Amino acid sequence: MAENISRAAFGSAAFEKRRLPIIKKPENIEVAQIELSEILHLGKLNIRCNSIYRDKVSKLIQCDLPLEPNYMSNKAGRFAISLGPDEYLILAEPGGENQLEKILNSSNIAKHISVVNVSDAFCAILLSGKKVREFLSKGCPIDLDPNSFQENQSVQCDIALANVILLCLEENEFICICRTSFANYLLDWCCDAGQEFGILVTKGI
Amino acid sequence: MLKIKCPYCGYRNESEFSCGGEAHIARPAVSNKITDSAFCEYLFMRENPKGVFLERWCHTSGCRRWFNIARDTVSHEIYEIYLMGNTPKTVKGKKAYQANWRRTSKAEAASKTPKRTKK
Repeated sequence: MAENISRAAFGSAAFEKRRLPIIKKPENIEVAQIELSEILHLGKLNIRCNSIYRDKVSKLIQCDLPLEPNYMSNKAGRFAISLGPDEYLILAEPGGENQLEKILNSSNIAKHISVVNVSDAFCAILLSGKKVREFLSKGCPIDLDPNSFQENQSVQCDIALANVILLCLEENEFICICRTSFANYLLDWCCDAGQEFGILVTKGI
Repeated sequence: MLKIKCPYCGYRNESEFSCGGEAHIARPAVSNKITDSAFCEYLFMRENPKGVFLERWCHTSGCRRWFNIARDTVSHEIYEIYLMGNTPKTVKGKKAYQANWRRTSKAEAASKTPKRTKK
């Protein structure tokens, strides 16, 4: 119950305040080249574990934890993103994170790992479209060339002063995870920066 | 802008990092009693060299991990990047480490807990 309340209060506040869809484009462009929507109620778990326990955790969550930082792995709709040498972020289907948390906390390695549910602390935004790399490059110092930032790579960086985790799903499809408190700001920036390519903001799924 | 190679994330812009000042400052252990002036020296005195300086840096916008850098304060050249808990390995880094007045200070000597003797 408490979970539902907190999600209603903070989860997608940045999107619910606005009247969606938002379309911003110059007159000479017919169709918006960038599409943006929130991924609603995506479960997020922060796991800290030593490399010794990595394989055991991978088995428990049924998704391999990536070996190197700045990479992610995905299996059956679940993502495991490496945030550092001993820190991982797991993205799970709505409600799936509670199940995973229970599994990990009741396992025999529970003493050696830390599991924190950060579903409400972060907000996931799905970005897609032909010009999405060009659009993100406007505020992000990372090299987003398709040859250097490829599928299954992730990066923690700043987009226009907001700290984000950027995941590359396909060539022109990204998930951007930012702090809920920064979602408003990031959405403003996206609407502004995406105007030249044409941007369509829709309600999440 | 400096391009700093984070040991975990690779080359990133300086704007993603924050500097934590001088590295290798050991806190005196509670069990070792030292004078107030020696503690003051540990707490407030910092090296300000013209040349190689050993600093702590944090990749704030990335992996949020701390590491050490041996940087030249005049040319900004980075000689070495090494992990926390290690000492520099390059010649210039080693020299800067040894030349620091802190190596002979009372506070640093007091930071090492006395070895337990077998009963």
